[in-house]
Amino acid sequence: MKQKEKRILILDDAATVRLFERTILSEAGFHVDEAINGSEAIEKILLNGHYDLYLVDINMPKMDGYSFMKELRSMEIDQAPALMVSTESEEFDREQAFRAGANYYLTKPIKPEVLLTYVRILLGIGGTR
Amino acid sequence: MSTLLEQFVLESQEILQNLTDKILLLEKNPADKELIHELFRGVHTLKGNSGLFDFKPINHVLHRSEDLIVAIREGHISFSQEVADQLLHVIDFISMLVDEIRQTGSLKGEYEKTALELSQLLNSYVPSNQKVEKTKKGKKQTKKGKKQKELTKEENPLEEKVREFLFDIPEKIRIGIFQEIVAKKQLQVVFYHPEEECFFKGEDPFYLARNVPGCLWGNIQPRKKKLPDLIDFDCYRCFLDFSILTTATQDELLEHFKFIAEQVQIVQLSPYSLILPKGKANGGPVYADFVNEGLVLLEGGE
Repeated sequence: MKQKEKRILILDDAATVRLFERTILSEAGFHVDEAINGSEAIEKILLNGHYDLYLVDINMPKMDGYSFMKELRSMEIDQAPALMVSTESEEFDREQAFRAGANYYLTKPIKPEVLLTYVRILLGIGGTR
Repeated sequence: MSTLLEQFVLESQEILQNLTDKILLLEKNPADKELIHELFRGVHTLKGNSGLFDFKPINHVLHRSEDLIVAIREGHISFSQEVADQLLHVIDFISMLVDEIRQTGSLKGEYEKTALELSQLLNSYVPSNQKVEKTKKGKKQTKKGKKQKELTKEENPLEEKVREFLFDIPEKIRIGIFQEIVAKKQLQVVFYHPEEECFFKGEDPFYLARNVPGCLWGNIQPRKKKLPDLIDFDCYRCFLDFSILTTATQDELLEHFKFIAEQVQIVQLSPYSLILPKGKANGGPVYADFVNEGLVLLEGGE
């Protein structure tokens, strides 16, 4: 599958962060969708089908990142990669993120090139521009 | 102004208004856990957003505000009127900065110093055991049955800490320093508490401490906490605190520590603080009075 056909779902309650991530990923040619929390993300998956990658914030109202990951891993067959992101104060939650089913973990603020690198690696398109 | 910055200003204004409302509600219901959690989430989101830009004064203050709210959430301190006032003060400060960003598209004013003062003030409410343990969720430091109390600044043991530090300087060196600097009347102690994760942020605490301008004396202490068991011990974490005696001005010190200003406490001292009588005084109030009177006279320049 080509990069432009890859669909990414961003989960974050902060509109500023969503816009930041969306801009970087869209400019890199990905198809991007957004959800403001875990439950909205689940609704979008049920409506639009599975995504190729999930960019998941931890601290969100209603359904947080961990709960979303557990839900996602219980409903999904293809186990699409998930990149969890959070602020530095939650750095110790890394282990919990992996246990919940995340494939990798990044700490905010994320540099655009770092985000793109890990997204590409997790999508198996490393080196593609 | 970029679309991202516009979004940041818009969302910040919403969150700041929301935080003010929550604090006012908490003043009426200080034990409302849901409100405290919402307060945390607001500050947390604001911090995450501002981290996308180079707005250090906003980041520093939010970082400390978050620590303070965590201390309340974990039951280490209560939500008191004093705490509410400080948080409202923080909101005013950040609102002012966000307004400048809205008007000019950037932050040009000199806010580092105010941000540092605010951060230190917020920090003074957070119990020191939490500062170390704050990220280990579920491991509350408050002992069961221990009566929760409201911490106030008066209980901050900073003065005692300064005294201990000065007392540990060998007398001969201490008096030598006194003689050297008494005319300059400029003396400060810096307490530098590096974050445990500092090595992963490109910081070198030893180098930074060693190169404090005007450094006269310093010491390194292991942090006053139980180190993890050997099997859990992570040698890539910093468990040390630094204390430095210096003739540098506050501005010079703020410049030196500008990227980690919230990790330092600066205390201005009189050169006469270096005169600390030691030895046995044969006991009795007469001797204590003599020492106190001597110090008062010295301080008064007599």
